[in-house]
Amino acid sequence: MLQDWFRGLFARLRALKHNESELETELRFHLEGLTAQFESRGLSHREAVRRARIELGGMSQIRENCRDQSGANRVSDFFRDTVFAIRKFRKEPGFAVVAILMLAMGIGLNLALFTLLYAVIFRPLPVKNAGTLRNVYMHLDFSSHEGRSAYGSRYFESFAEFQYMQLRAKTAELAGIAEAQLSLRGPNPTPLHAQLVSSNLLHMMGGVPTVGRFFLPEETAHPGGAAVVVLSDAAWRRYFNGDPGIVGRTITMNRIAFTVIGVANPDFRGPLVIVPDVWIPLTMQAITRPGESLVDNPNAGFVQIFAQPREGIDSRQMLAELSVLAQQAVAARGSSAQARIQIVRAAFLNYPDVMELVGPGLLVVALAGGMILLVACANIANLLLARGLSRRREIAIRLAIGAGRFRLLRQMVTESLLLGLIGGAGGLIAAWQGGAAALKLLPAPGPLQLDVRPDPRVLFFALALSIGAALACGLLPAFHALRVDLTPALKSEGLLDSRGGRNRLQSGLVGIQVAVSVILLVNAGMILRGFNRAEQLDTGKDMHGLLIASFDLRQQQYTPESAQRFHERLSEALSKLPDVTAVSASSIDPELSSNGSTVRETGTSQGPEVRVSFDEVGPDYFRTAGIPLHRGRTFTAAEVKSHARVGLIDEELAQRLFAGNGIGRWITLPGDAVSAEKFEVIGIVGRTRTVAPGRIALPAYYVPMQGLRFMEAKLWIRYRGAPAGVVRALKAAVQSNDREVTVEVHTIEQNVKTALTPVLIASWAGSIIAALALTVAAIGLYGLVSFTANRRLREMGVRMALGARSIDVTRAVFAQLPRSVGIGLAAGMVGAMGLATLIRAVLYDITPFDPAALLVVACLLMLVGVVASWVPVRRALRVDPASVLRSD
Amino acid sequence: MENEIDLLQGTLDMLILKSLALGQMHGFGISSRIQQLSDDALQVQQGSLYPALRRLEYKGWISAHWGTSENNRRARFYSLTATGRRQLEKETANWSRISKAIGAVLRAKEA
Repeated sequence: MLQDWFRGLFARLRALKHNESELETELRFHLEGLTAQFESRGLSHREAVRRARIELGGMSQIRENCRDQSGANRVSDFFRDTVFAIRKFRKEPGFAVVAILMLAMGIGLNLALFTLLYAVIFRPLPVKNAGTLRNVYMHLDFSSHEGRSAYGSRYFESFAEFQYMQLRAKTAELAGIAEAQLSLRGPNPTPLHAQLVSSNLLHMMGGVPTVGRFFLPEETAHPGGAAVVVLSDAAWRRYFNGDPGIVGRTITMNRIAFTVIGVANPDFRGPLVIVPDVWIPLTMQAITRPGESLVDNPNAGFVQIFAQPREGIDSRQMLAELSVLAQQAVAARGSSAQARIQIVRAAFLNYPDVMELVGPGLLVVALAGGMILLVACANIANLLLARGLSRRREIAIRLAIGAGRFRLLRQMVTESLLLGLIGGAGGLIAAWQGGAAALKLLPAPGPLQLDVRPDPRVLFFALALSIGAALACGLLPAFHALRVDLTPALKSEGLLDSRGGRNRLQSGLVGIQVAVSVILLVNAGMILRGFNRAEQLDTGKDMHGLLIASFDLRQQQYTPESAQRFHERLSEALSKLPDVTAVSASSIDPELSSNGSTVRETGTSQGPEVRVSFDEVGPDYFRTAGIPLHRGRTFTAAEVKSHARVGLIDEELAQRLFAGNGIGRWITLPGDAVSAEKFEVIGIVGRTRTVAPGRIALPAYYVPMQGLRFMEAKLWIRYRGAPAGVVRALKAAVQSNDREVTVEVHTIEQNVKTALTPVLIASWAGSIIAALALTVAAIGLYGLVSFTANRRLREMGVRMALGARSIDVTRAVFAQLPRSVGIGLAAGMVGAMGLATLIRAVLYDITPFDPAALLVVACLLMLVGVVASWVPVRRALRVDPASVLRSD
Repeated sequence: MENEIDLLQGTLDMLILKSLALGQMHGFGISSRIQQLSDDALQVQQGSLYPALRRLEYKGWISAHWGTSENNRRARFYSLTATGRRQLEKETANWSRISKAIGAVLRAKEA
């Protein structure tokens, strides 16, 4: 279609060039024919020529009509309109700059969102043959719960299922991949991001070994397979100085000696979004989670499958074969579950579970982005309306001397299209740069290979947005401007015309903008206040002088028993330090993580099941955390060591289960009748809550830590004075226990900050958007007020000439302010309250009735109105009544 | 002036196509042919002829080339294209339907 259009354009351009002289010849020929005809009827030559001329009509008119009919004019008109528009913009650079900036902002925001989503969900992967590459996901329909465990996505396959399908698939080559964090041994242990792959994956994705080789099939065939590793080019240079003799060297990761077999080419980063440092065989998965081997568990889904269809195979054939194989693979491990295969175009985050979330999220984001673009368009429309007034005479004159209305409309639309395209180009640049900047802010365990550069789809979307926005803001004002009554406009009485329609339209637009910016401002204010309040929230704990240390015991191949001993030894060493007042273990990173469960009183199968949060802790936990003990006692060291069935509950849980006192009573944790764990309540402690947004404060219980929990346990350390000395002593103590273990230490204040980062980002983003909206509304208000004031300039002149005092004139202009601002404020507050109920679900005890914030917003907008009115009012007051009456 | 063209457009286009169906012809020839065929009843507005020819050419219904006229002058000759022929058939059928219908209305006897 586009090609046809271009072909037409070129044909028109050619016609434009050649037709003129040809038409001349043709018309001369016609004239001669007519003359001869008249002569043959007996007229004199001179008379015949005269009659022929009359009959043929005006040459230049015919020529013009021919140009119109052959489409040549449309092209030259377009160029002329463009040049004319640029000249207009240069005459009023203020208008053009404001309009282009607003459009660039609106389009840029939408484009940035689109680009990011597109890069994550749809963009083809940066690997070989990405166009035909597919992901294979498995939907399992369990008739009964079969203890399927899933890592990464519910739709990943287990190693056994993957291998079954890979060995038998004839329609496609399958490759499997998973991810893990490893710890590289060295003078300082280094965290590495690893991709666990089947032997064919690197070649399939277009990787080439620059040194050595990639994996052999036998190296990834059996669980626990070969301890070999392929380095990324970056890791090879960074950690091994690009040693050319690296192949054959042994490196130790997660305490396992791996032999380096090769280095991948520099451009190769694999098919996942996080850029890996190393690749190891999929079958080495067990070393990444000691005690929880997934690779030999046929019902643990952790392998993401990529499929490259073989020559001449379409996705239907592939789906048919893989569906059969998947069902066989599931049956082969003795399961009766129904397996359904889903094949999707390969992209970074296309898991079915992610896509389910993306749908509604996308809608919200698109709506928000669309709203802002709409407000920007409304504003430009407003400015264009105002400009339409100053051009009324120009338009009237052009109409009067014979310009077609459609022709003028085309010219005005060309103007807004030009605005839209320049704005769109600005937006494209903003989205590209902004997207790249936003990527750096995303928290991720490694650098991300998200491509936010514009590509054809992004460009197409940008173009569509630009044209859409241009039409949205340009058409209405253009139609309005063309609805000119010729006579009064030419007689310059047009300025006196007091038709209210346009004014109401403008007032309405400004009202909407004020409302939107009030909503955004109030919400930004609420989030900001929520942030402040959250920082000072009473969490029920002592939030000062607390350090939290975490260790990579899992990567260091610890067992639960050795992990427990590690914690005990470390606690003992630390509690001897003079500045340390208490030490204990906890399964929770305070303010950042939590455990959830349900409980009921033992023996009451009908009793209420209460949703709770819980923690498994070491001795002395409550003193360390600063949680007050209200009744009973805390754990003894012996109880913790023997995992005694005792526990503490908080006041809230005591109230809910036992009406206040529950000491000596028993509580049952979830599970079936036989295996469910129980504990006896030995104490009641104070309530706690967390500053993290979106978490409801739940009643809590605490039991002694046991088993696997020790692998991930944090050490809480209460200290006096400055933390630096304690941190140093802690690191020394860890070193003397195990040189390989890395320790990460945070103060509780740092944890609070991290927990509130999303809120902080949201409040910043909210403030920026609200400020933009306010600016836009202010510009709109300014446009409206100065427009009306200018329109009434003549009226003012008349009034002044008739003896009105300046105060009356001033009052007349200012009188309209409260209406548009007031209505917008009222509507905005209603909207803000609606939104506030949403935010309150996430934040703290915040009310939208924030009179201070509302007053500030109202005053600000009024001030803008006053300033906007002041300029025209001054003009009106200074104006010489006589000159106004005479001129237009 | 544009209205005039609009009014004549449909019929003039059809007449041009019809006269070209009889063989290729230059602009002056087309207008004389229409005049002749209608026994001088239809006078082609010379001013609208050439814009109409340009329009039909742009639509691809007729094509043009330079040739030599009967009196040995350079002239632009127009001929019907395949699409133009189809268009003519369509318009002829349309026209006879309309004229029949209008005729029927006008012939109706007063009650």
